[in-house]
Amino acid sequence: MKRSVWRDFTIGIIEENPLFSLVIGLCAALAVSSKVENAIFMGVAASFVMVASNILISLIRKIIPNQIRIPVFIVVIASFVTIVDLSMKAFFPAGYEALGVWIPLIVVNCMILGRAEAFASKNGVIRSIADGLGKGLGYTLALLVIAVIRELGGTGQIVAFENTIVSLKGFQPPQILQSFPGAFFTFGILMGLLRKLQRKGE
Amino acid sequence: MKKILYFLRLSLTLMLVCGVSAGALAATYSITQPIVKEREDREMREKYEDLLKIFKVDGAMLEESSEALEKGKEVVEGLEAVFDVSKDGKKIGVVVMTGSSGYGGPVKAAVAINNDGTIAGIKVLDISGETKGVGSRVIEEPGFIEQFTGKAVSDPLKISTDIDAISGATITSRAIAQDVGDAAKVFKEFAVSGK
Amino acid sequence: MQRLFLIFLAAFLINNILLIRFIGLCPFFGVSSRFETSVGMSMAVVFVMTLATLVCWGVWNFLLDPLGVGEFLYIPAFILVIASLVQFVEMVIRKVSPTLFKAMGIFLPLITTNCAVLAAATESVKPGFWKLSLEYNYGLGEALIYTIGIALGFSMVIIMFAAMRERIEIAPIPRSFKGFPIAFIAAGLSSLAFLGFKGLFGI
Repeated sequence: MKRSVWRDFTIGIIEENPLFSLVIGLCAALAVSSKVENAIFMGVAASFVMVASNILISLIRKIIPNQIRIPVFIVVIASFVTIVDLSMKAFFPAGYEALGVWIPLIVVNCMILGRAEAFASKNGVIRSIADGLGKGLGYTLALLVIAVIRELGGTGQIVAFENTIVSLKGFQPPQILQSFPGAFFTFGILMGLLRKLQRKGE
Repeated sequence: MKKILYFLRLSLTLMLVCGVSAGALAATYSITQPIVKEREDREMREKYEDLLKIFKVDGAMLEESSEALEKGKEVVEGLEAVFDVSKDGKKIGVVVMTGSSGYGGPVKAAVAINNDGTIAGIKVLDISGETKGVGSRVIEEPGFIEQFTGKAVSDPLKISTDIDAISGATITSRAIAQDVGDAAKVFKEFAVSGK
Repeated sequence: MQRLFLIFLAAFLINNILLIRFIGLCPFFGVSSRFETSVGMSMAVVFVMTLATLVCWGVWNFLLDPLGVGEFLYIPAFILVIASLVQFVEMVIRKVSPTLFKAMGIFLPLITTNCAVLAAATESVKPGFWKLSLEYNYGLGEALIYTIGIALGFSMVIIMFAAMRERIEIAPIPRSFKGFPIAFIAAGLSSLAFLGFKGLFGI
């Protein structure tokens, strides 16, 4: 049975959400989620790399000999990551500074190589785009959820792109949410709750 | 023979992929690099203007002194830059940029010192490693930084005897005082005696 | 000498790559459920990471930087170095020492996508990524010490954590929190403990 393109797209958002269900691409998710702004940068950057590499890999999948497909995938992904790295340095210096070593590390985000190997190398361009977009969106949304909890809870306000979006008055924020342990706690508890919800649905 | 050809094909494909990728990246780099360079230049100029503002003197000029920096590094580890400040060709003071360790990273500050050895002003440049809402209060709370202004660099400027620390942020406060002390050291040792 | 020690300590404890910086978490949660696997993984990481930094240091200082292409080719170059290194090490170990291969062989392919290796190589070799308040000169000695510190920090935490998870496994936990979620919360508590090292020796 063949899945529809739309299904390829939507499955990445909840059921096969890269972060909460598949538990891959974790490192970056925890590290950059202390601020909503950084989460957006990271989500968009990773999604771009994933969609772009999915497109290219599905285009060249038939001419690449099987033995060297992994090195080729790595080069393709590394090139797109570098493009993101250079462009962010030029156009979004604040984001570049904030993400730091995490931009080159998108290359080893297991999620991207995983999708290239498991999906784009076996499917056509349109479906690969849908898959990349879906997984990218799922990843970005998951990042955003964590970042909103951590920034709003940890600092009492959300400041993104120099605008204060939400500000809680008279709320003494528990700073632990902003710190490193807070990322683990937030993620662990979110994941547990999500599983509980999923089990109830069954 | 067939096997050799096959391996040749493998390595050629791989080389081709790498070559194309390198070319594409070089092209991207040639587009983004001028933009980055321009921004860096602009930030440098803005930084200079910001440093001058500490002096509150109109028409002053900044000039980086690499000589004082080199000598100063021997006595102050975190020293980053030393600027001579002059007005109408006459030297009126120095700005010393230096850093020391705070709670979670370097605490960097620019300290402006008048020729007569009084502190003209301080600008905290980087406290990104400090805890938000705790260490960051050294710049958020008016009055802490102002305590230094006008004091002579020959004073000890010790936290909690000469300078009131921000309560709860003693480490960051101490790091700022350390920066000021380091700047004073540089000023006393080199910046003046050389001229 | 003192500075080398501080660099080591900063990488090993104070900025522990797993608990403070979240780099390399995927293999961390993947293999830390059993004690033996975590020991095998640690060995492989220490070995590959040190080699990778060594080679990347050479590639950067003798190839990329002198040619002026480092700024835009370092990501593909470093990751290819690491990937081929892993393959090579796997081949050598399989030939030379079957016992060692049995112990850490299956973890080697996993390491290619272990961000910790790339992070260690990038930070210790390429200027611009070093973020600690210590001075750092990008010499080979410091790069190696830094990497070894990271690798040992990774090993210590992963082994410690495996011991913990084996006990958590038999503890009464709400069903939804079994497995990953409780592991995250445990990691959070360990991370909290590691925060205590912050500011040690002024690093």
